[in-house]
Amino acid sequence: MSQGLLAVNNNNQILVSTDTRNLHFVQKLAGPTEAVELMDTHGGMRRLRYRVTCSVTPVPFFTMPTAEFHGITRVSSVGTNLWDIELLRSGYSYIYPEMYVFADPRASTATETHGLVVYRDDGTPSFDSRLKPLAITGGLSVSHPANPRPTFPFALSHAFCESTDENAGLVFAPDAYNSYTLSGQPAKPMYFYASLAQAQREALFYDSDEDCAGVDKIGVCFKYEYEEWWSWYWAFYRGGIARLGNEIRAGWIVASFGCNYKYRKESSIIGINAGGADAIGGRWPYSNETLNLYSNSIIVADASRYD
Amino acid sequence: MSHGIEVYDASGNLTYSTADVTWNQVDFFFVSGGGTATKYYPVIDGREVLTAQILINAPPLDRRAVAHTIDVSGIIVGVYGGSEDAYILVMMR
Repeated sequence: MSQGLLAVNNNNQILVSTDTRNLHFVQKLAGPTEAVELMDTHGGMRRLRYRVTCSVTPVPFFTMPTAEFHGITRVSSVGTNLWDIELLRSGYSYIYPEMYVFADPRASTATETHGLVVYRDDGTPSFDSRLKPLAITGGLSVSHPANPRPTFPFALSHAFCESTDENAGLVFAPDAYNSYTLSGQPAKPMYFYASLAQAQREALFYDSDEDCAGVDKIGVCFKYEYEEWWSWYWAFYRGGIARLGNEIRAGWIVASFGCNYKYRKESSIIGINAGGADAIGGRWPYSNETLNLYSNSIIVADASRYD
Repeated sequence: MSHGIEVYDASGNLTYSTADVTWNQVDFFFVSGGGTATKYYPVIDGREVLTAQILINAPPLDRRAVAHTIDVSGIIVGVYGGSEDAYILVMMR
């Protein structure tokens, strides 16, 4: 740098630079604007929408008031300076995260009269101490286990997806996670974590049956019916993180579920095909695999500094 | 603090100091599904760089929804291989 300002800390990490932009506090939302979807099976899911006003792309941080899994699953522009932040959370409770929104200093206007402002060479602000610049307390990189539910605990109905959502939910509720230690977290931590990992798991339950449908006068079966049933139950998962004290877990949240079935019936009279019936139905997922198992960055900061 | 900067507000509260730690935003840009981007940032040379990707739309259930790969090499940040629209956040310290 030949001109401008560069401030570094004791570890020579940049604090303020006229070549970059610090993130500054824009808005706190004490709760979601809307609970878009509530799922009370499959380990529970809450799809929460937080609407914020911000003139540039927002960087969201959320608290984790419960030990369930959380993740920012999308950020979308929905109007002029309006953004929807979607957060997915596992579990059944109605205790929702607070959302703290940060952005570069062009997004806010200061009312404070004292402080320090640093400008870039184009005249736009790079840093403004009056706008509560983001200070972090830690971070780590996490990855998710490839299989959200390695073992299915019991069988479901093979016929026409007849098992209840509650029973299917017990089979598919995720129970796998990777564990990390993150010590030195503040009393009220907030987290930046953008969920990318996805997984789909499916379980096929099959059965067949052959019956005699007609017996002649001497007791010999001359007509047979042969039936087959397939039911593919599935669940679609998104990656999430959970906090238990100094432990951070990278696990899964069920975002959607369904079932697809197939039925086939054939009849034969003295060995000659006499027709049959087929049926298919249900919702069908894309594939049985895990995607986007990248290493995910988590940034931790002290939320109380922005309350 | 014996060395550094402390910045206070009008009430005398410390708002920022060189004892703090942060990640600074270098860029925040859009890459479409199926698109690629190659960005050059001389300012990140020799610095610790952190990237993040935020999806814009909910992943569909009827096809594979692959996130972009983000490579950082020297002063070059490359984004490619994803099928979904995303925001890419580049930070450094």
